[in-house]
Amino acid sequence: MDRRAGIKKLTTIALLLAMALTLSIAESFIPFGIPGLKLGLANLVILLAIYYYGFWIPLAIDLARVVVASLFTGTFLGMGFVMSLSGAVVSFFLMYLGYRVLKFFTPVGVSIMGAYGHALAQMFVAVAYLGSWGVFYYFPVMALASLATGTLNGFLVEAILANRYLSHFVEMTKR
Amino acid sequence: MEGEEPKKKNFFLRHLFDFVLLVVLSLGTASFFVVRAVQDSTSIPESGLSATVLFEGKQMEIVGEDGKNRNPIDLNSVHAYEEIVIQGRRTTLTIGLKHNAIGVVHSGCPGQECVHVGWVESPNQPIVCAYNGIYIDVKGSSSGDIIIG
Repeated sequence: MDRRAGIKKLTTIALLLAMALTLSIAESFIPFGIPGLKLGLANLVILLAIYYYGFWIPLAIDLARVVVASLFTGTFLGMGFVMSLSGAVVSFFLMYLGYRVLKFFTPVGVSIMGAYGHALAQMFVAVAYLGSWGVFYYFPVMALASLATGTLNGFLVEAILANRYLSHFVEMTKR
Repeated sequence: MEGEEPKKKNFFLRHLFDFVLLVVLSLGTASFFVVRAVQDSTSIPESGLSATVLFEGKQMEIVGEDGKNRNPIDLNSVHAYEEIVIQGRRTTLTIGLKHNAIGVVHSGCPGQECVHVGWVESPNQPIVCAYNGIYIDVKGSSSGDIIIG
């Protein structure tokens, strides 16, 4: 990799992280009446990064996003943080699995997998943390919402991936 | 024109597996609602409700007027509206009590999800304030006999 491509790559990663962070913090201010329910727009950036860069870079962006966003919103190491982290990790691995192995899925299917996994992981953390299965009361609503947001994000990612200029730019950073 | 035609046709074919996944997960999730509806219709207890307030997974102590711990709170024995203030991890929460109903009236948390839940008047629906590590579990009261069947 030549030096210029390296700088471009670094810049692109920084941009993706900045986007993920901004979306993550912005959506934490949108109340839905159910704890943990979010649009998952930050996940859109992660999914995009998976399609662009594969495994390590998106994983790093994802983890950095969760940690820094929690520092900004003041939830670091609290229950909300553990929920976000587990959701982020589970959805990342599911999306990577979908992208890498389950080739019959388009970004829409991969995004749905990620979103649903996110909801499921958060629920299990909440159950473990609160020591009661009662929290599952909120699961159906969360899961249905995650399907809706997952589908929406999937189509958005598909549309962004179809942009030839962006793809070309990303390709340049890999050389 | 000829190039456009297969592309349009392929939209559903291209997303076939995505939509299959979506439908399967939706139906799977929807079945939870059915289970809950059946549960709710059979589990409304005649003995009233009781609520257990948990802080970070542990039952917290709420001292009543008689100096004794009144957690779990017997909501059936509450006849006039009253409020209790508890300390969460970061802020305090004001919990309102009515006859067989409980709700968070005020909370210092930024999301206010616990307040938006409103009054819980049936069992199984919990109130969660993740920010404060508070979890309120509402159950049928154990003081009366629960008859199943």
